[in-house]
Amino acid sequence: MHTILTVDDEPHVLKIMRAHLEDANYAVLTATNGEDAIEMVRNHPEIDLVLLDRAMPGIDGLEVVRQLKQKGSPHAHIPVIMQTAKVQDYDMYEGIDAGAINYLTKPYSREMLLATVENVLRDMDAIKAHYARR
Amino acid sequence: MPPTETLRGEILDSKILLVEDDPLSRAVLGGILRREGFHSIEEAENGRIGLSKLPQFRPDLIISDILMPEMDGFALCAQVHNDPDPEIARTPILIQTGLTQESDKAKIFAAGATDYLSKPIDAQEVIARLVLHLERGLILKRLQKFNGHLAHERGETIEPEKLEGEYWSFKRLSGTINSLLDEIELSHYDIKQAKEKAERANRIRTEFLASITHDFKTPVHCITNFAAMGISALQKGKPEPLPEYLNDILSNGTRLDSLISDILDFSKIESGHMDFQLKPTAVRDIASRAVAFTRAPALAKQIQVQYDSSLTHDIVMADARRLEQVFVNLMSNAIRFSPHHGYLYWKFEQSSMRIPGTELDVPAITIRLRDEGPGIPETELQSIFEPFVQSSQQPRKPGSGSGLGLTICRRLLQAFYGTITASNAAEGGAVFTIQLPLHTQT
Repeated sequence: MHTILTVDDEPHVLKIMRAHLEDANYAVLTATNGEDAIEMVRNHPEIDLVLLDRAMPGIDGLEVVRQLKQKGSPHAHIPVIMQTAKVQDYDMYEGIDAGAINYLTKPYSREMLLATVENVLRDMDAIKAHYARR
Repeated sequence: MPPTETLRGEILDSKILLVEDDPLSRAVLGGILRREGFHSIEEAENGRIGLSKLPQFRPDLIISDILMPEMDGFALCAQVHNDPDPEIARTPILIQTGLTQESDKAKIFAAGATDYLSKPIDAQEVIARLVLHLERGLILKRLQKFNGHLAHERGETIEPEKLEGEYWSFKRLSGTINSLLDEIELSHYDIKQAKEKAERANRIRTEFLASITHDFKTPVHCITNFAAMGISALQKGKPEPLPEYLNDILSNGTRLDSLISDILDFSKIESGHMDFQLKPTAVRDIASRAVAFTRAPALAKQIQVQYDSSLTHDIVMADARRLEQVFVNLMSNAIRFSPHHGYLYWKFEQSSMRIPGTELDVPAITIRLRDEGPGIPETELQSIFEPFVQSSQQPRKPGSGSGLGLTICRRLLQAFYGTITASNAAEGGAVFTIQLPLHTQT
């Protein structure tokens, strides 16, 4: 079973992600701000993927990705999917440029969320299997 | 531009008659005019008194309110236009109006007004419209005079001493042309300014749209997803979480609703289309109505409200419904930031204040609302009144603000000549301080 860390300052958005992901048999952890998200990644090596809101008070989503993905970070291998309500191309560019592997824009459906998450995890598993064989 | 400079001097020498029953509004208008440099100003409390001043004062322009005792603005217009003295009958009249419907404006022009001034009074608008009409009057007078000269010249044979007269009338003609050219140049300048203003407005609108798209999407996301989750729960034959999902849909719908009202209010205020009815209003009554209105969320967090008032007189000129909106907004913020079992403190005091944009000091009421929340970072005490800026302390959750609430509060209070500021209390918590001029009976 895969473990996903969901990060958002809106309790309702967290609740929706938890319901959809648990329904699809993922283990779900939550954090409500950037500081807690980084702390969770440090303390939970079982985390396979982070679903991260972009706009949060304090350390925002962009900064969290940058920290996780910076050179020498022990967590750089964990894929991050960013989500936001912003809609301009430039917002997506900033997220991907900071290190996010994909981008979800609100409002998105359960199907869109699960397909995006499954794609990333499938690729991660395939890469792991590939290197295990060599 | 020297000729326009002299024209400006003549404009400032113009005689202005102010007809307005509310002493505060009268003082504010007078203050705006005097600050610009106008010095011949007469004031009248109603249309009848204004009318009685015409034969002697002979104003170049009249500014009048609509609703006044004894004789209102419409009747004054009619009386002025029917004056047997043609010069008085031609006096331009600017009508002040808080009415914003296009049909109301049509009524004002139908009554014979030259132009209108929208209430709440905006100093720049007052001066711009005033100068426009005075300038037009002055140029018209010059042209009439010049026409007279021309007709006079045409009827005469040219005699040696007449040539000098011819020369002078030619000089005058070129002078008039020069000043007209200056007018044209000036209007080019106005057009340039208008263009810059439009560009600025456009930029603000773009930011506004980006901001509301963001704020709208989250509740929409929640509503569609909770609805989908509800449907799927029903299809699986497990309806247990349905009431919870419906509640979530409700609270996000409520949030969308308040977002939409805020945005509508904001755009109405920004475009000058907010309707106000300024009437004597008891501040404490409005505050207790706001407290009653926000009882449910206060009870949910077991927050208590305390009053402290040393007022003997608490009447201000305000729109009661809009003032209540301001107080409800402050109460909602205070409740949202308060800890459970916290206290909110209302304090009412007698004070004095300077009317913003004037040098007028008047007796006032100071209203303070303090909470026991985390307070406001010093760097944000000003910016929280800017549109779409939220405190970084914001506990964001469904039902949280649009980032427009305090902007709306400030703009509404401005319409009542009031002010609002934010600070932090020494004992902790945020304090919002409102000052409103005390209404003095006439």
